Amino acid sequence: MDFLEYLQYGFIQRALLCGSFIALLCSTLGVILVLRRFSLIGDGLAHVTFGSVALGLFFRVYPLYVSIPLVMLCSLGILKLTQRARLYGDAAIGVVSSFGIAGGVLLASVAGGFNVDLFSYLFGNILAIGQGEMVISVALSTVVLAVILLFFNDIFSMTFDEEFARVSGIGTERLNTILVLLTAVTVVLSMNVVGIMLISALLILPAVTALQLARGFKDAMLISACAALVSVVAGVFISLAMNLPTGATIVMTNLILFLTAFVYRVARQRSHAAKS
Amino acid sequence: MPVKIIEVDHLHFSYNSIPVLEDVSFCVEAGSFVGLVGPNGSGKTTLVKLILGLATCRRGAIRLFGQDISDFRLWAKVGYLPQSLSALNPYFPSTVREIVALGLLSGKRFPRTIARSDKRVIDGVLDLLGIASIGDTRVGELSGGQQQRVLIARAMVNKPALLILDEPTAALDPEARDSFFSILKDLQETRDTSIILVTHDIGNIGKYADHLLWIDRKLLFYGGFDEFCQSDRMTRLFGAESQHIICHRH
Repeated sequence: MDFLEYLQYGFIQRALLCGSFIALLCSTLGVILVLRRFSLIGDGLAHVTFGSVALGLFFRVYPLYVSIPLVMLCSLGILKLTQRARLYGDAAIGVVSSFGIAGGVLLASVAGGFNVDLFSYLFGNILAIGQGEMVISVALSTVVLAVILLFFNDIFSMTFDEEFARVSGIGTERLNTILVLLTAVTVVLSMNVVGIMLISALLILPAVTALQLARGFKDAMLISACAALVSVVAGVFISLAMNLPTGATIVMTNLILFLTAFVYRVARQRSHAAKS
Repeated sequence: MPVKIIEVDHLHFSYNSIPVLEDVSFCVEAGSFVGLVGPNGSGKTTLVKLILGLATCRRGAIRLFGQDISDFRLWAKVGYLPQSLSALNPYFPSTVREIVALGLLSGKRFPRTIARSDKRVIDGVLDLLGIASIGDTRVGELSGGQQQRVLIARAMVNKPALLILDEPTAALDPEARDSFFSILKDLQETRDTSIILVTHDIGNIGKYADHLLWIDRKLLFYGGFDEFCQSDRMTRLFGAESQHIICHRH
């Protein structure tokens, strides 16, 4: 079967559309999180997502409806712990993520019957995204991307130098809250694309690929978005052609792009050094 | 009657119950060039942060352009250079132009965007500071002195009425330092910009600043240079040698 034939199937169209939107979301937000040295928040919130999915399955409620508010609440918890409890970001993430995992394991143990469902959320299945999930994902992604665009320069200023941003009249406390809430929504939406276990890869890898190549902040956002889009589209087709799990293939494609960018940067630096 | 830009009234500040500033009161008038000096740990940077609302005082009052600092919103009038150059991430993807453009955001309404017309303003300040040739260079690739000039350009690009600079000359060579001080003096004289400059360089500050604010947890001296040089109390406090170094250069 060639690639054009694949495109005739509704489930592949949904996977590509939904995956592309979430790729854009993760890649732009990822640049900000990596530069703010807060990239592991994706991992921490993914663990909370695990607990919230278990909660949803336990009460027989669609997990996305439980996960979005619960993960948003926990993202605010991480922020408050960082600001008020004098914890470093990574320690605050550790506190909240262990709560998510422990809660999920306890619920799974008490229920004793939804291990298979939970497994599908752990590793994701972009090809099984339904019409309703696609509409929710595209709508929420559009909202998150619009917020990032509206606050673009504020976020840039705060990411580079938070103190200076405050003296520019930028409400950094409010902006930090908006950023962690956006991250929470992104993490939950990414669950279907790569699964809970690999969400942080989707946030970090396109961003670090971009940091190898970009000169400016806008360039970094653009390169990160391109890398994420390429990895989702290529990941979907490669996984179909080679009968591989799609989420893991998307992550491995991202990793290959990062290694290529890294080798290119090192080679370019050496050639510049040799010339001078 | 001269306009008061900064009014600090009986200010106290403690960190973890250790007093950092005690009963500090002074007032800076429009167009002044104030050298803020004092030994390490004397509270200079804390005072700057309190004036800018980056830290909150529990006792005393601070007014900026006549407004209480907790209600202050006229940030377009203020330019600031933080002390923390060493915290600059060398891998941060941003060009010199992008960083300088951030200085214009305080004068913009939401959503804050950089217009085409702003590019001319940015080019102007890059020219003024002699860094026009590196406008498209990544900030992480620059030397410490060049990075410092980029951050100074960011503080100055909005043509602020008040410029607060926390140790701006630390990474500059003597030639760049003299040129930078001349630019500041020119800003003060031609645009009536008020300047607060935190420095350890007490030998040089006398050449440029017209007021000296000396703190060591408490306010030790605030006034003009002539007053400082003629004060017997200052001679007793700092010793004749220190006083001579400052006054001789002045």
